[in-house]
Amino acid sequence: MMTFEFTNDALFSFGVGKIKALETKMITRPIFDQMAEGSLESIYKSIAEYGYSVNLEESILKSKKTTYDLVTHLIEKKERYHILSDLYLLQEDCYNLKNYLKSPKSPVLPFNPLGKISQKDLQEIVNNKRYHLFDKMDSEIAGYYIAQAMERSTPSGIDQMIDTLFLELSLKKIRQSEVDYLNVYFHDYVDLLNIENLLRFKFMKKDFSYFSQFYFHCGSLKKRFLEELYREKIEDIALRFRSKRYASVLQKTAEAWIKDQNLNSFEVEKDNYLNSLARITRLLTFGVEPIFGYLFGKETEYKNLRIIINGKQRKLSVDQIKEMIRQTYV
Amino acid sequence: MKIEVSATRMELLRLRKRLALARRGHKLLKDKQDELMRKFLELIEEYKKSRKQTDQDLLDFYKEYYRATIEYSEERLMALFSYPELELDMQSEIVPVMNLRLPKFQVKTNKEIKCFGVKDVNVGIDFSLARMKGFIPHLVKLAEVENNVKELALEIERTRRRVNALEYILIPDLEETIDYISMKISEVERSNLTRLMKVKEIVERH
Repeated sequence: MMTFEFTNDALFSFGVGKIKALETKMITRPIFDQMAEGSLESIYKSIAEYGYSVNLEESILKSKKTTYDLVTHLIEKKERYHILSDLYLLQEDCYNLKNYLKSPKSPVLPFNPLGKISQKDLQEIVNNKRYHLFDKMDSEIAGYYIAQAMERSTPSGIDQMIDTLFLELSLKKIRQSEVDYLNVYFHDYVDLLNIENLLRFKFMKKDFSYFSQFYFHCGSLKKRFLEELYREKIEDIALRFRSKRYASVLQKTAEAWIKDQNLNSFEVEKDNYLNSLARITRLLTFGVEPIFGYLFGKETEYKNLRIIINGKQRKLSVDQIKEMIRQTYV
Repeated sequence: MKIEVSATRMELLRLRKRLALARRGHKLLKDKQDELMRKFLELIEEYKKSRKQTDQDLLDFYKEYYRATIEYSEERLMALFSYPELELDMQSEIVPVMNLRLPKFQVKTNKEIKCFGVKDVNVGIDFSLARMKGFIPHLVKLAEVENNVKELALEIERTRRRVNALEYILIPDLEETIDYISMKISEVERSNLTRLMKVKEIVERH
């Protein structure tokens, strides 16, 4: 009897098809809007249809785990694409690392089970400087930033160092993967982070040296350029970015700031812009991009669910909740 | 007779001294009560102003904070705020008001309230915390004024009870007892006089 053996490429394409099928089960924007208009009871009924329970955080954790397992299975035989699972786990590990570094001066927080590094290994990394346990390939970078974080006595300093470590390692992995889309996404993400911090500290009336402590080097915006912007009005800052892909984010933020001295819209516009970047991946069939898009879409879904449920519990108006709901991936 | 005493001249003198003292005490307590009331009304105005300001500050803070943290899980928020860095330098002194010792606080906030990094942290959280840092001294001031109002109210109540006790019980009782003793002594004097006159009449008849 003849047997067929699928090639790795064929298996991967089949997996991407599966992802496309799963996308149809994601919550869409009209459904989120409908939820925002309903009562808390009706929201719980609606989300139950999508596999979420009344205990939202527990079901999000379960969903994250299922999604991660699925993605890992899909890219198992495509070594170049392991970057996705690596980045996914790296984010969770960095979260645990931050909490551990802060633990001598803060209450013990629950360990995030989604990470790659166990609690015991985390202790080994920090206490015995066994940085290779954090990242075998880049133990030097990990070691440098973890040591820097340990030297900083402030919580914001620890967070900043570990966030920089995450971004540096991510950039390195993205470059190695040679996936152009991820490179574009990453640079826009870091640039928007730097612009957000620039606006954050500028309007908190901090000087540029304070902002410098929170500057991320791995983006495409240079520090000197940002220093020039620091002295400018928000509408002029928006104009300086008019040739960039994310020009609309700054334009809308500037409009909102002039209207009610509020930077909240930046957050929403930033996420919507990144979402629009992620949505491009829906047009691609081959490659790691659709899987990345799906992961992004799931994260947006979790965020939107939290916005609706927290908003209802905090008795925010429907308009306020709708204003904060992010554009969905599907 | 309200006060159980023997109706003697000695007692009368003693009671008169007590009445004079009670009247002087009453006047002093009445003045104290008036002054406490004046201070109390001043403090109430300050309290109203401080309360209104703090309520508005808190409302603005919570509005901004709730909005900014809406997309975070409880665990993530715990992680953000688990390591607070802000330090309050609080100095207190005791200010005497009448017989009261009222505390007065001065608060200075040093270091930044920022206890987290900036990646994936909503700008609104920073803005709301900066707002909170600004109104911490107001919050402490409100607590101080509220405590002082309570202390003054208690003292006014105590003083009023004393004034009332003097005005409606002790002074009238003393006055009544003094009147009684005076009448009793006059009565004794009159009866003595009558007896003497009677004796004189008997002596003259024989």
